[in-house]
Amino acid sequence: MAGTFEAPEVVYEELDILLVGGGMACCGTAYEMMRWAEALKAETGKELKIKLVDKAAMDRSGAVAQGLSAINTYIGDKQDPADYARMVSNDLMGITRDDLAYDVGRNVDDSVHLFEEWGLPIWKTDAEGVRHDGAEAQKEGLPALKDGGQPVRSGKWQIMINGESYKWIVAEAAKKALGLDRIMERVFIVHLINDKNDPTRIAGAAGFSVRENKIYIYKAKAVMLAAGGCVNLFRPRSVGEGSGRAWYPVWNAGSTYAMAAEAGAEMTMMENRFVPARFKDGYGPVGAWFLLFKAKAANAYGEDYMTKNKEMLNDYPPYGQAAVPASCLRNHLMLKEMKEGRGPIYMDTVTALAKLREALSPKEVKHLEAEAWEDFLDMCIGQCGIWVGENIEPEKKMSELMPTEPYLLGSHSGCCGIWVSGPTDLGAPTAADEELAGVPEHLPRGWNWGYRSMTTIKGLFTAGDGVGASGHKFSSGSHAEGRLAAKGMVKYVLDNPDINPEFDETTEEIAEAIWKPVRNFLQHKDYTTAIDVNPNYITPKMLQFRLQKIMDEYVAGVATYYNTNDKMLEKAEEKLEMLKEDSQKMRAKDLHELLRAWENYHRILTAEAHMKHIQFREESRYPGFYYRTDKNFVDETNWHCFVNSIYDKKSKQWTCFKRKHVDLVDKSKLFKAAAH
Amino acid sequence: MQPLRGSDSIMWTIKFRNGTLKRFKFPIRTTAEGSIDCYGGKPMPKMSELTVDGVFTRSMMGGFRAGNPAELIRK
Repeated sequence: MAGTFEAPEVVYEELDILLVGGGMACCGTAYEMMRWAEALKAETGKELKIKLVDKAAMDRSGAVAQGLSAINTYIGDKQDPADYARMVSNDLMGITRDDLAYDVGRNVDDSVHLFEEWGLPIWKTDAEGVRHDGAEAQKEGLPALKDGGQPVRSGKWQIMINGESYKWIVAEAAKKALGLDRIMERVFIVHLINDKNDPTRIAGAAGFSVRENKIYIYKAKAVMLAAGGCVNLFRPRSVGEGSGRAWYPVWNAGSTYAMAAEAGAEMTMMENRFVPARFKDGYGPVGAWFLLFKAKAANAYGEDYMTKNKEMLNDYPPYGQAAVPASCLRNHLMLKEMKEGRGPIYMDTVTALAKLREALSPKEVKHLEAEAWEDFLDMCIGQCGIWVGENIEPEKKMSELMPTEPYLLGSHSGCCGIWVSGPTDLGAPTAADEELAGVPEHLPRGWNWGYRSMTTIKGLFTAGDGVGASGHKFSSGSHAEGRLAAKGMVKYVLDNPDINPEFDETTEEIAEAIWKPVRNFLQHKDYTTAIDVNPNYITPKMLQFRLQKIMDEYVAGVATYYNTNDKMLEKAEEKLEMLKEDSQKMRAKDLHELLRAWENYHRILTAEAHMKHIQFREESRYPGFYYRTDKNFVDETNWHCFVNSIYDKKSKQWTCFKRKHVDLVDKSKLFKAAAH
Repeated sequence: MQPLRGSDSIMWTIKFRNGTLKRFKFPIRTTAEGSIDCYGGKPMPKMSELTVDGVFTRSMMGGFRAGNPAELIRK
């Protein structure tokens, strides 16, 4: 029976494994999992029922959708995974899981080598030190990375690519691995279902088609939840004039965090955020300019604020003494210039390109110019629009930089997310090790509880932006992390052949909850003559504005230069409670609005987690990303620990608690002697 | 800004407010679209290896970085 808007069709399916998402992490999961599934079938005849469900289309879904001009995590044969774990820790002010970072570090290059084999053009350096773009390198016969080819490093961990079709290529391999019958696109999973007999076990997930009047309910033994980070929970700098423009993909609506929290999974470091300093208004990438073209940033009067304000780094020992200061501290030094009225901040592209020209031939200069434009055209076309619209040729005119609105993510330069089970061979704490007081009894002790990448909910796994306390995975690391999780998922399903999950809600209850914004609309739409003006419902767009205003003004958004305090957080807490109540009155006049309504519901829960964690952590761990002005210091004595939390979906309350931080690699190698 | 995306490269024509025109051509992939043989030449893992560290292509993609054991200070 075909569904209608009034009476949607409910489709029910039973699976062994459900993958939610279609970005780099889920593509990695699918690629690795299907090979193990083939092996299982070959050895035992047993076939696993596997399905991937994506809100969009895999070819262009996830944060790599538009493309990338670099792979930001490639270890290479000269660096150690321990060096990588140290870098991750340093950039995130000391509070990360070394086991997770190290594990990504030792496995990530395998994925990068596959990408090249599948057709991703990777720049190479030849024996004379001359750079070749990815296609030219292949024509010249330069070896592949796996055969000793030398990439072009734009930084210690980054390599340059021609990456317009990066996601397309990675998706093609994942789709081939899965086969089209195991892929369901244009279905937005909005709700995880727990097991009736064991609330700490996953039983399935549910969502709806964004194209047809259909609700999908899946029963599954194991679920991979990898649906990205969270964008647009804060009021963005681009509002009416450029609404929808953001640095991270706007479709990342916090679904990963909200659904996991509602299912009861332990969250970690949800206070962490990323405030990228990017080219103003277009959010264009700065990595290549800083690292490849060696450009400097300066205030409006030409002063290099990283040099001028370097003493400020001494306020945050030992992190300020690292050879490369953390991203937040670089923002901290920039913000001083802005707050004291010496903006705009500029990237000095003119001097950088002039210096490079001195050493290059005209042909190389032409290539260099193309590289500068490709950096945007591969991954952030909107920035090109700004440059051409404002007649900015980087060799002639400098370009403004600006710290953006905050973003929540776990794979880029942020580390919020879900607490997961890690590898067992790296010396991580076990259940026998001491833990801090206050961790709820039902949660596991130690950093491993059986299956790599499983959350504290049995059978629920995550990867990429979903995994907390281990940032700087980026595209390649997210793919590798998905692959590691795939093995854990297959093992979990095989170890638990007798699991027969039962839903803790009826399918009718699930379907009605999903369709509630539509019901709100249909019930009340005739009460007024203007569709958007109605005392009985709120449009998703208006609700989003309300959320963004609360977060911006009280939870350290751009309006307050990233400042908040205990009193402002109290106000935010109260207003978010009311917003959560009112979210039940969101309307959906069509399927697109139903998508928006659910995205906003996920954003509210994510925002609430962020606020609660900032409130609980009585210090300012990330100066430059946010400041608690009532606790404006980094407190290593009391807060060198993880802040974790759980959410109770019945009482709708959060519980925050500390978890002990342990170093698995020596961090002292990062720091110069303290200046004071 | 006008893209023209082909099978192996993308061409961009960008026009500035002042009329300046620039054209760029960048490679996008080195294999034919749809040609990826994702498991071609790759090992079939044994289920007994499911708990071994690393991914199933570890032995042949040259990407596993074992690391210096001395770096792991709690082991």
